[in-house]
Amino acid sequence: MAIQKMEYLRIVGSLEDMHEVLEKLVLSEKLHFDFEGTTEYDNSYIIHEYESVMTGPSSFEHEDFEAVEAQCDRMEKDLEHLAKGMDIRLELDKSSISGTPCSLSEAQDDLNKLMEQLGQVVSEINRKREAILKYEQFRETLNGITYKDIDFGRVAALNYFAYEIGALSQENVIRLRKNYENISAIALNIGMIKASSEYIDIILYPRQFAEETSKLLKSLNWVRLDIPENLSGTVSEMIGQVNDRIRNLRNEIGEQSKVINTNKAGTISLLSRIYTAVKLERRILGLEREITYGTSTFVLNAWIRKDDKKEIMRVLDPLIQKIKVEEKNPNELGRQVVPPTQLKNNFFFRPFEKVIKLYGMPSYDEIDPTPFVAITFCLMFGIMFGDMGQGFVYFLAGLLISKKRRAIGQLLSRLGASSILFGAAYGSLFGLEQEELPWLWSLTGRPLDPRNIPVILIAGVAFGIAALTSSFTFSIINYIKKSNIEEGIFGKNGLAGYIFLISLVLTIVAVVKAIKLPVAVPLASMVASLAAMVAKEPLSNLVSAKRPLLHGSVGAYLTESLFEGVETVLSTLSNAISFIRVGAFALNHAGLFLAFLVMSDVTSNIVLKIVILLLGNILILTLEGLVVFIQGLRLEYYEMFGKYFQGGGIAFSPAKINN
Amino acid sequence: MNPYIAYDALNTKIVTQKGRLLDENSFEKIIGCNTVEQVTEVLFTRYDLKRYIENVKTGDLHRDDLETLLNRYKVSVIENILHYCSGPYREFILVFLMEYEIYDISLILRKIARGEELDDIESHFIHSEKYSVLQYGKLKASRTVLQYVENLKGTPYYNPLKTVTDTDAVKREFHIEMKLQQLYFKTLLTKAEKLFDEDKRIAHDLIGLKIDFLNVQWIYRAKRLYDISPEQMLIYSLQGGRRLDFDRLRKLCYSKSADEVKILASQYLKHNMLTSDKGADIERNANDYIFKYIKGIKHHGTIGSVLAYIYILDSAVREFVTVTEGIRYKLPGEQLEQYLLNRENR
Repeated sequence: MAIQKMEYLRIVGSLEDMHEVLEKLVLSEKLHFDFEGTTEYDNSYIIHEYESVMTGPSSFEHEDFEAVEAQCDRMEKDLEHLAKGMDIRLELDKSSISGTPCSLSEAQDDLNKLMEQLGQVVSEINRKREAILKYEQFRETLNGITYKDIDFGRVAALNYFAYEIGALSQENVIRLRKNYENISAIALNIGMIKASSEYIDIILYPRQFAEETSKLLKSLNWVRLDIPENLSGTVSEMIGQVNDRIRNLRNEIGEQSKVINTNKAGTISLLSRIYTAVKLERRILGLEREITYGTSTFVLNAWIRKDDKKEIMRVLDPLIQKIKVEEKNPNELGRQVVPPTQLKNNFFFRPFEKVIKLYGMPSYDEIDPTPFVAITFCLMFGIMFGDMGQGFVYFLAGLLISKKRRAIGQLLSRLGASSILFGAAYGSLFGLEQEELPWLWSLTGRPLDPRNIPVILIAGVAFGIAALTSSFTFSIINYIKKSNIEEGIFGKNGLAGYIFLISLVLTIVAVVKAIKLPVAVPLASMVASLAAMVAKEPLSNLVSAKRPLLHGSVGAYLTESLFEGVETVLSTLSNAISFIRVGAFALNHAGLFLAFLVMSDVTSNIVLKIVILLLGNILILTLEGLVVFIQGLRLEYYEMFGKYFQGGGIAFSPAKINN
Repeated sequence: MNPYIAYDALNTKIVTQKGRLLDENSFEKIIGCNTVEQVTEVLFTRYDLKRYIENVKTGDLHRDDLETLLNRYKVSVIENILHYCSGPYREFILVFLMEYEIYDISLILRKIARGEELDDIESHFIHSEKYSVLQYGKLKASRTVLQYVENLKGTPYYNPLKTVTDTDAVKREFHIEMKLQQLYFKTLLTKAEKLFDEDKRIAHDLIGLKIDFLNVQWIYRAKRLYDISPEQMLIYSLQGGRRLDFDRLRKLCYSKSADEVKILASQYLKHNMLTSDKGADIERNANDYIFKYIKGIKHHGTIGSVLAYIYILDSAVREFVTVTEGIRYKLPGEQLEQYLLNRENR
């Protein structure tokens, strides 16, 4: 329940070993390479330092990146060709190369053997599949022709007339028709292609007007349909011939596939191994292009999770005599180097990381807000949408969705569970309460009970103040971690801001006489905290003994900070009131269903009653559920994140092979 | 009150922007320049246009660079207008950006067809980076015209270009130009359909007027300069004109000579647009007429003000380019004036 601790690795080695080092590191899938954190200058300095002591060739022949890239392209093309012919999808199989590494040249040899063995058959199968596709498209066009007895062969045999069949858009058909009397060709509509909503036309023209007609058709975006060779007769006859050809081709493919299907499993696994080797090579190539080199030495920088250190050292163990691995704690690197962030949460909180990432990634030295978000979001959702039945529907839906969209499904099931719990407290099952189902137990009673309404609204605000207290605490901790006294102590999201909020609440409470406290006390505290916020820069400089107390002109500073003060007063007020919506939506939820209940009371027909209540539940589950979710999200993002979330983190993304 | 467009805010914006580039002094200042370097200096310093073009020094601003710079400025103006629109109005204004997309896709297509290098092509792009959804990287990577057209699949440009071949792209470029122009105006008129009644009428009238002038220009040039059949002329004429319906277009296309086109056009349009054979003169005559018309339409609280601004800006940019070219070739000031619109229409 925190942000994963990171360590910084700097690996220096001979260029001869670079490929092997990178291969091991990529396969380990545990390193987030950092090509920006350290300056070129630092790395160059290290290279100079090590080149004088490290043994290795005085000048290393670099790989020709372009040639390797081109080889990978060729291999991938061949692999795709084979996969297409075998009707399979190329998949990565990392296990096939992690135990026994496969170099690109080995992979090339294996691929050459496969191509020799299957290449020709596969080419033929692919060619036949393409032919089938063309025949199918042609058949679709033929099916679109209304007059199935047209014999194009007879039209082609005309001495003085030539013809073309093709497709025209509706717009161009209109253009052609409007000027038909001036056109030296006959255009007959003979059908329509449904898929593209284009008209199929036959154009007949005297042979001497061939060029003129061709120009005309060009302007009309005419898509000429060519009749495949050796097809003849009427349209119906041609459809029959096309069907025969497709059938024959399929049979031939079936026969030829037998060659492929002998030891298909073995071939697939070999293909996967070659494919993975090519992808690995591409990944390494990408890294090699970014790494800093000397004449014989390379240096690379990466972040690792502290927990993975042992594993990485084990991976690098066979090479440890040849390379130098230097580890550093982020604190040693200074503030300008920002480690990547990986959130680390337990099973319950993890789905809520999605809500955080939707807003931004916390920076490495921030508090991970996931547990806080998980708890507050569940509570808010439960309070606003408390119902055992509807909550159970969400819970089940969440379980189902989680099979395909894991995080979203799990998030929904947790919100559903919270809704069930609060539903039990309110005594609400699919909107029905004790009045309709007397056997239902409830802890607090129905939300719309006149005694409960003020309690619920006040509880909403109380919840808000508790949530804001936590938000302010996080904010103060985050600022102090960054040694920002100005914002942490005197800022509007710091201690002064918090005292202002609490004083404001106490002032209201004292004015309505809910507690025995002279109004002057919280008022004085409000004024003092506001003054501290207005004078935050000089005050923080005074506390930290920095001089001058104020940078820039006093007038400009005062204007800016006074406006900020006014904004703080307004936003604090709206912050506190904003949480009333938690209570208000709880009432709204019950109220909305009450409307359907009243409607169902109008009829005595039991079936109609059930239909109305069912409709009410569907509406609440879809529309109101969404509204409550958005309101919860709004409170999280706007009222709470706005206080403490600083963001700007970079997600930890270890280098790995992917499709 | 139109919920889809903030006319008051837009009008304020337009008035300020007009003051920046389109005021009388701008042209006086440009005409007063003796060298291209001075023109560039005025554009860069007085109008702050330098940010629209990279790596150009004041001394070597070529015609292409100047056009790129000013077109990018026009795009940014339309982008700014879009901030004040939503719903059907946003959809309608977005179409004006199509013109610049069309310019870029035609540019790439031309280069691919001619087998030219595309390395530096981005420096000539003028499309809106904010609103264009075309995948320019993918388009650039096309090796053949066929592949290029395939890569346009899923965009509005695919259908008009789907039958284009390598030879068309090199030898029959006008087919591509005309097809894309038809798409642009058709989309513009279709989107204008969704505007409120008064705005729809204004938009149809103004776009229709522009279409009329483009059609006359096209037919006249086709008759005078090219070997194009009347059937093709008619097919490539734009639909939706204000005064030139299909029958009149047909009469123009099937007229016996370019001179007959002149007579018929002035009769139909009630304006003598074809006073000379020079493209610049024809264009100036057309623009003069359009501006006279623009002055007469209702601007306050209607789309008229926005359209008028886009049209005026468009013509101002052309004038800037023409005048700068005149300065480059040392034409005297009086001659430069000829290329400009009648002042009273501005």
